[in-house]
Amino acid sequence: MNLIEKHPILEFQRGRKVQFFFDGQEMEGFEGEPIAAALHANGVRIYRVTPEMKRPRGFFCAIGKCSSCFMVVDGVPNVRTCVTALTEGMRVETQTGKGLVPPVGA
Amino acid sequence: MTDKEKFFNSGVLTEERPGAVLPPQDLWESKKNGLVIIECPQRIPCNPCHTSCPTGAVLPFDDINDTPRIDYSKCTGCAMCVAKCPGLACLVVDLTYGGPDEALMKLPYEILPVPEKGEDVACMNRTGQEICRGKVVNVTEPWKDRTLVVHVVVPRDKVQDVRTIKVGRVAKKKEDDMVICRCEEVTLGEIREWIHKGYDTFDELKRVLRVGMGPCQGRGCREIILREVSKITGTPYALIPQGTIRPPVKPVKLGALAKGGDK
Repeated sequence: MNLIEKHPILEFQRGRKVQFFFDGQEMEGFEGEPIAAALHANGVRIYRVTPEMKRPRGFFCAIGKCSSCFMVVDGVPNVRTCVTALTEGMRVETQTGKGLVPPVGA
Repeated sequence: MTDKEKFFNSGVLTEERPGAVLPPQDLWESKKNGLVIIECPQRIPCNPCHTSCPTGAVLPFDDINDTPRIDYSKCTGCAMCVAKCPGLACLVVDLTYGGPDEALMKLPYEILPVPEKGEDVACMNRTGQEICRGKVVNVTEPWKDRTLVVHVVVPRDKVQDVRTIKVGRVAKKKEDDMVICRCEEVTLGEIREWIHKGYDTFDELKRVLRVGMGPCQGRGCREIILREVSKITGTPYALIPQGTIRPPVKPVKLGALAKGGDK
């Protein structure tokens, strides 16, 4: 995993190691950390593709403000992965365009 | 309105004013270790420059909102305030350092990579443009709190303009092609074009370009656009209407609205 170990200002406290899936591929992250952080640590840089210009998007504001990191999480599109905590077995997928809202009751 | 006023209104210091004054020239040229410059022209409730000063050179604040005042006869150029100011507004300039064409600047630094002694770095002005090269001669950590003070030798005629350094280089992108509204994918070029046409409020730009209408609701682009309006029209940033902000101000699931509850 590729993580910042040394930072000029911050210190890190991490949860237990859990498995999750990115586009079907198994990955490892720390429970409770932002999904986007876990993906970044695994080398994933592209989280979605924009609707108009088809541009790749990844981490941007990292505080739930900019909506750059929208992904499909456990079937739900437009999840702000930078402020959503990682849980064991989570299924995270790259989002293309605006995303499809799952049918009611799903 | 002059360009200087336009710049200041958009947040860039352009000349001396209360809270941002230069030291008296005679004393400045003879004082070994240099004198502090504080660039803090806005009234904000903040006084660590005074409380951190070991010699009392940064005078006591009558009102904590006051801008800082300095007794230059007491300043020793120790740079304690440089490392303490949360806004990185203090720096020290030593005109006695090195040859007649050189000067030493002590600048606050809080990003990685940390420059090394002897390293050649880019020196940037207040708007972030590279204006010359400098040589790092020392890196200190006055409060042992991981805020560093970088001592960099610069050309003497640049001390009025250099305000930070950059280690290494970042590739430049054509400005007008930069996407400013990342949700609706609107570029700086398009925004500038419409401001020049007279659409100089956020709400007008929103209607013609959809800026600020995506999932982030302008949280990413609003300030950049208002600053651009300020630069082009010369209206002080603070006087430009912020645009109408409507709830929900952050993404909320329809289910949460339908069911009630706090998530």
